[in-house]
Amino acid sequence: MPRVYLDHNATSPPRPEVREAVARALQALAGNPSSMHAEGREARALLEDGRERVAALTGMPPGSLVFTSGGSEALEAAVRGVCDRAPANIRRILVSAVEHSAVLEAVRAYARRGFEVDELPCDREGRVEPEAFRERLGLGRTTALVALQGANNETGVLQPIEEVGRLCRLAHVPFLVDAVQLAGKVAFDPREVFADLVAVSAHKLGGPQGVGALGVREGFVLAPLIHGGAQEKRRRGGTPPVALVAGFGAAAESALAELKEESSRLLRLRARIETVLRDRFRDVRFHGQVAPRLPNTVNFSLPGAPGETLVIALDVAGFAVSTGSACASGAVEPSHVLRAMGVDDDEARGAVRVSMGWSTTRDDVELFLEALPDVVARVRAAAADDGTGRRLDGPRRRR
Amino acid sequence: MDGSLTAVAMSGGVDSSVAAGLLAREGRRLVGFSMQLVDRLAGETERYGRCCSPDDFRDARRVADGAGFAHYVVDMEDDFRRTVLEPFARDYARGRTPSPCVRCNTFMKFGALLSRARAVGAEVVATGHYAVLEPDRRSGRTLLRRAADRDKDQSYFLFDLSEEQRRRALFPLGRLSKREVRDLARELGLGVADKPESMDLCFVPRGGDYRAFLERGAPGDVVDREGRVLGRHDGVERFTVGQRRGLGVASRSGPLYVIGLEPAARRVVVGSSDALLADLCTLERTRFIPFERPGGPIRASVRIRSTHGGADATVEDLGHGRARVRFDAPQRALAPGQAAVFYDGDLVLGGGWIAAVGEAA
Repeated sequence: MPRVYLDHNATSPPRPEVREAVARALQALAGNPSSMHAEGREARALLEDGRERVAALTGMPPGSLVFTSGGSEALEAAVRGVCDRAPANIRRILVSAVEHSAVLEAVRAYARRGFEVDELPCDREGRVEPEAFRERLGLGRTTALVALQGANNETGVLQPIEEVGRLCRLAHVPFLVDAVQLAGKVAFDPREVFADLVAVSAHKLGGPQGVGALGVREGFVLAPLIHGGAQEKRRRGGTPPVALVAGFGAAAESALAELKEESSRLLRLRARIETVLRDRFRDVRFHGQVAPRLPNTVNFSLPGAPGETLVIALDVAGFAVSTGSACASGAVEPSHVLRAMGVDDDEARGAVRVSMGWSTTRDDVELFLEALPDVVARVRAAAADDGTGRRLDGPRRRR
Repeated sequence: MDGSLTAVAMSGGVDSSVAAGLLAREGRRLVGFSMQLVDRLAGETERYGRCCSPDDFRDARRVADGAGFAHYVVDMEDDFRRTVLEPFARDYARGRTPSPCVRCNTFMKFGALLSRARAVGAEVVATGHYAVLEPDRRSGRTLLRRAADRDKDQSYFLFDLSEEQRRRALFPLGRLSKREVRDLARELGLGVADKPESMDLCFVPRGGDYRAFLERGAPGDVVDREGRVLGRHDGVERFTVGQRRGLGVASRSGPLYVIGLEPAARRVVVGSSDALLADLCTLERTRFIPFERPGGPIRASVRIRSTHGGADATVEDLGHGRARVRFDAPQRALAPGQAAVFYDGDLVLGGGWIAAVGEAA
């Protein structure tokens, strides 16, 4: 059965040029990039090639890029790298309530170590209010770090990183941008958003899983995450994954080269999906629809159709979509993002995310839209019945 | 084999894995489900009980991977709490002895899970149960029979499925022995071939106590049949009819047993072993399987708990789901809340829930 893959925000499948770059690197690779011999220098060259391309993606100078095992590690490295060096009287961390758990849990770990973590609310469309950051930043020089995502992984909603970044720079507070979903999809320049730290991930834009990067503003001092080694300017010990970096470089290059065209192409597909959904399901609820958003993401609920069941039913029918953020254990908690947007638990449990990317075609979208009504009808019919065809509990009164 | 889709409930244990493996070998299109029943956020292994651990889910997933079908872990905590855990605690609080495994079949595997299966286009749920389902052409009903392996037979726990549910159930292991199933597990190359048996009350942690699931009740008196106070207890819900241990009272005339529970008066009634004997009980929510209702009193071998071998009795349908069971010989520890299941040889005639015991019933 042909599959239709619409879950690029979870992983965007490796682009052909990425597969080629990784394979080529693995074939060529003989040495450690830290070694002085010819084999080492060759590996080093591959690494630096990749570094330049990925640096272009973050907008940071290549010399300040730290390769990590992925977006989560890049974010963790940034949070720890800043907070571990923060003076004892500077103990406040500002984040939005809709950050990815990689950020939320990293900063919450510091809440247990004497930091005060403010998770600032968003409006019903999922946008944070820069004014809330201004207020907190005005509370004397007490803030160690501000972290804000460029785009939300579940809804695609873009955050006002320029405004918040400017406020941070004025207050001399380090500003971390989680650009994992943003990079390669929407053009941005870290200088314009005053970012000190930018986290990106390869597999969200068609690169290999297992590699990410943290762009660090030149001159910004960061405590190391892995101490055992002088690699990556002592910011992350350990041998970098050269072949993955080569793949990351290829993905970054393609994504940037195609950004403009892709963005308008995906925008048309997104509009098509939203139009048809609204047409077929009068009760459809879109999440974050009014806010500026990524061109590739649609997040919606259909009343009476639980998201988990809908995603499974669509998978069985040949379509890969998601309930929001992929969850390792498979169990469903209502999304913290939708909750923060004031969506009630029932509707949040119904949320389905469709996310497109480089491999998505018009046909994919049409097939999905064609299949959806039947699947939804079946899911709704089953959800209305507990399966037993009778009342759930009926212990009658004893005589 | 037609192209229709069959759902398999997979615990990660040997039985459901072999059931899945057999169906896959037949060439059926399958979709696997594992039920997430306990708080996944608990984080500690002991909270997982004897089922539903991430390791069990991985085992199930590996079986599905090997046979080439999709497997999903579905979040059914809410359904489980509502249909099994809460009634379990409520039964104890009312002085009843609950049967959570029967409810789990009725409301989870062939309820909430069946509903999810139908949502994805599967009209049947297969499980690793040891019991036999057999369509009866004459009556058009689906008969339930004991498994070929008497030691493993689980028909008792399945009596409360409706005709609709039985029609949508599939038990590939019903005619196999446990030995054959283990051999098949090896033959099918399943990694779970040597996994230990799972047990009743799968949700209670290993080495744990089901009482941990109950709220702390109010203390009260331990009394004898005549109402004389013999001691104190710390909550009616901590006792079941027939229980001997942990009463905290002694008697010179032999061991004492719980013979009755009076939750309203918070009294635990104790007496001698003989006082546990009764030959009559009434049932509620009774169902019959080969027929909608019997034409008159029927003779049957009636099992009054899962470990009971069955005793000859006459079952009389009183209407409105009520029935009276009169045993030929008195039975020990008929406990309200337990299921009484009627058999004619291998055939399950039906069953109901014990509501009251003795002539007063």
